[in-house]
Amino acid sequence: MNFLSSSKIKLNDKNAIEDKKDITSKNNDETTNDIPYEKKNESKNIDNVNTNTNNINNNNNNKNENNHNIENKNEDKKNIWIDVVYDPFNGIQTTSDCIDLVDVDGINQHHLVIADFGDYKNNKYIKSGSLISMNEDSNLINKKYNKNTENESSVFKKQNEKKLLMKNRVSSLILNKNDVAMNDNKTGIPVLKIFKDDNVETKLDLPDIPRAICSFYTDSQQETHPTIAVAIGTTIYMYRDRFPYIKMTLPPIEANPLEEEAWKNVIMQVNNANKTFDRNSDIKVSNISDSDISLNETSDKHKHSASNEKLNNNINNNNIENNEQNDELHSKLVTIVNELVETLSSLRNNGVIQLTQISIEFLALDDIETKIAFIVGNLDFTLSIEPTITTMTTIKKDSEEVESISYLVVGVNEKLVYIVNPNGCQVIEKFQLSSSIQLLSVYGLYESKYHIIAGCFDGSIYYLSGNSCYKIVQLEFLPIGIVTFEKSIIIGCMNNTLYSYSITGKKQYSINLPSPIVNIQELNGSLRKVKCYAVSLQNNEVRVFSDKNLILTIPTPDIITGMIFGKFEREQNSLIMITKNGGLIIKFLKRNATSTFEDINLRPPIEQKEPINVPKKTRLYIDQIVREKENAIEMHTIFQRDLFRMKLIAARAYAKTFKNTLNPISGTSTAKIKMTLEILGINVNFKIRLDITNIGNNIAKNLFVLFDYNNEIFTIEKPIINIPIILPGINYTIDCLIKQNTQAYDKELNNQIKILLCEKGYITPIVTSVADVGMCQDLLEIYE
Amino acid sequence: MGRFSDFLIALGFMKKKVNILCVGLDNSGKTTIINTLNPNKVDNSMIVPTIGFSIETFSKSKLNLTVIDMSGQGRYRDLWEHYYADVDAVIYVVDSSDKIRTCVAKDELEQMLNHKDLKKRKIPILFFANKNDIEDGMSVADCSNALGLNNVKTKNWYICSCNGLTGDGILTGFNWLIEQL
Ligand SMILES: Nc1nc2c(ncn2[C@@H]2O[C@H](COP(=O)(O)OP(=O)(O)O)[C@@H](O)[C@H]2O)c(=O)[nH]1
Ligand SMILES: [Mg+2]
Repeated sequence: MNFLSSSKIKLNDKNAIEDKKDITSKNNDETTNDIPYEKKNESKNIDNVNTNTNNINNNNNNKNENNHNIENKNEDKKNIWIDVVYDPFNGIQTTSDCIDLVDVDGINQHHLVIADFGDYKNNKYIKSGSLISMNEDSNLINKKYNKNTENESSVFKKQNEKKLLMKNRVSSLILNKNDVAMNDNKTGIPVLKIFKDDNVETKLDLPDIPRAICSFYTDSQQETHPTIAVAIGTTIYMYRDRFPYIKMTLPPIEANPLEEEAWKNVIMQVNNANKTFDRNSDIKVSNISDSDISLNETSDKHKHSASNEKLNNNINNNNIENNEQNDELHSKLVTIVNELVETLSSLRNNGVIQLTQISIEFLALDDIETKIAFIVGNLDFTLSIEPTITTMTTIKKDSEEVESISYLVVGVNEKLVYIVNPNGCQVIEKFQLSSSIQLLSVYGLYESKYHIIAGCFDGSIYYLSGNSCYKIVQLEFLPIGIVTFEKSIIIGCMNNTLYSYSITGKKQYSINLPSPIVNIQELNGSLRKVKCYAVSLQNNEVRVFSDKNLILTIPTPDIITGMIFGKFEREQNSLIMITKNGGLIIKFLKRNATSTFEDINLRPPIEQKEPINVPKKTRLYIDQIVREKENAIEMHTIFQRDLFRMKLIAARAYAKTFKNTLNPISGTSTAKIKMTLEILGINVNFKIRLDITNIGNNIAKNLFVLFDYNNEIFTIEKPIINIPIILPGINYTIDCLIKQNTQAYDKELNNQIKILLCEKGYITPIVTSVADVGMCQDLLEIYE
Repeated sequence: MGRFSDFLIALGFMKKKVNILCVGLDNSGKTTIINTLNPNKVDNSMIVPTIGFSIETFSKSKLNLTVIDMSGQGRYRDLWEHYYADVDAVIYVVDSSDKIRTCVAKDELEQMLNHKDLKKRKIPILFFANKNDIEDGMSVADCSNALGLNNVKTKNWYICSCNGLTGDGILTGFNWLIEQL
């Protein structure tokens, strides 16, 4: 890892290395000291530099080509980006949601902040999916760091008390500076990285894979340092001044009454059972309550770290060792638990109710013994759903200023969107939607006018505002990203298409893209007023759109999974991109490119400027105009007459096909039959496939298919096929093999095969089709 | 200036008037350096980011200097080019601790050198690699490479490291510039 990061490449270094040797003699004195250092670097980097700069040069060429039509007029502005950093081995795994540019120290230097997922694909330390294990983990971590402080237990007690008290409020826990979650010796775990330039300056370990980060300023006026919020599982961790400072969870959601009933019943029964077998129950409860599953903390803390199963097994062993009474109790418990499992799984399988995490984990426990232990150990828990955060963003309270107060907008898996005031941790607004929230995009100020667009897992898009909450549209394809402007929304979907809707739900336009969309990111910063957004695609490019105009295409060396545009360090318009394989790309927009950007949007599309090639007015044309002016009436009557004639000819031709029954649907009253034919194969041997359907209501009987052909050219196995009966509505398929006699082929001869569908006893056929197979022969000749 | 004043200058009775343009990215220390040069000002602790530009005039050795201190902030960099036509020398300040933005400094330098008002004129350019007191900053050689100074063949230039706050190195550079004029 160290080696890789040392091979970081600054694009400018290429020049640096080339030019190194001939530094002008004028400043020789100063340079001599520095050359050895340079050399060291050079030998290490030179390979990488060469290969990679080549890559980038190629890319630039592509870019120029792509932009050619846009920028052919101002040639000097060909490359609007300055390539600053391309480090292909940075090893960051993240998405746009987990990147931000934050003025961490309040000195007007916006550092890059990334919540890195770590090596999440194959990391044994990450146990995602289980909330219980996550809390346990963070508890353990907290514990480690509180070890030396005296108030260790009191903090935990407080936490639990709070949990119970604040049933309907956001619960928050103020962390102290020692609570840094440090997983010593663990590598590849999720980390919050705060950069300085392109180097990581601060690393803060995270307990699990982060979902989103955002930065904002809280109420206190004299405070100019922003807070960074990291959403992980059910918790929002807030950092300030590079230290964790508050941990917050959303209010628990009441469980479904049916589920609650089931648990209540069971707990009552278990309590009853315990009462009858009073003596033994004491031991059991106190033992198990030490396990990590239990929410009530009791005396014995040493066993905390031991795994549940061991404990449970012990208990079960004890159980067996004990007397018959225990056996009786055990069998009773088994029946109770089995009942519970049945009710819960039937609730789950109905699919209407979302079970609480406790129930889900209970059902997932391995065997009946563990389940019993779980219940006995958890006799007094509150059954509620802790909302799992799926997405998070911010909304400014009352001012567009960078340092103005913001609220958090949080979307959860439990179909709710919250607006939370992080200062005081209060939910100030709550919206109930019909499906789990996947995406959020915010426009406006909370105090004046705002709207939130929420994209759900079922493809529905909602409009949320102060006093309204309605579904804008139900998409057919799942959304990948949403960007909101004042009056319109851009949604990127799984079908490689960008859709634009008005906020009232009217579709405005769609843009097809050549490749699947990976990510969509709004380009704010100084470009905010031009409605820009960037779309990264699977074919290694990032396209920048402004409304529906493609402004530019940025070719990238890899698929871009995360990107952000804004103020980076002291540079206003920087684009930072993270590639799928963990590369870091930094580009600065050139100063004079900003105006190009705005121009493009304001002026009409380029095509509009191109003059249409209008031919000159010729003598002939003018004469014609004069004639038309003078003889208008006459011309009109002639035209009308010709039109009628044409109609007549058409009608006659139509009548003729009827007469010859050449149209595919028969017109006779006895049987309504449709026959279509298809020729398969272009070889000497081919096949005619007939599809015959009786579209009338009566059964058609005594039909036969007759082939009328030149038997010198074709050989057909069965020139007459009998069809005794055709039932209405059923599709009959008949294949006939036909052989062509190449020697006898003659262009002049009739190469058609007529297929007649006839009814016995009638002269005219019901349907006639013609198969023209001359074409195949022509083809054959070409290749001979 | 007429022939008479040329005569006076030659005799040393009148000082020659010289316009110097001071440019560089924001926060590179332009204002600080000019303040250190300026004998009329001493207080270096109260420097705020320059808005637009500011003009200082003072005399040094036999020259009457008019130094135009431009703002380096992105949106004010458009102003630089308006002064190119009538300057006699350029001071280009680089913050040697701001590695990530050297490429921006390079880009701005190229734009300046290729500007129509400067391209044909042979004026001296003095580069200051400022803030040499900051640890792990770039050396003069690094700065020179990063800016691609070796490709600058059409102008006389000189680069020296300096410290705007203490004044270290500024005079060395400035004396070179005066020699050129
Ligand atoms: N450490 C250090 N700081 C400096 C130096 N020169 C200038 N500064 C600081 O850099 C900041 C920006 O200086 P300023 O002259 O306003 O830069 P300008 O925007 O280019 O005019 C100020 O806070 C100065 O104190 C230096 O040599 N060393
Ligand atoms: Mg200044």
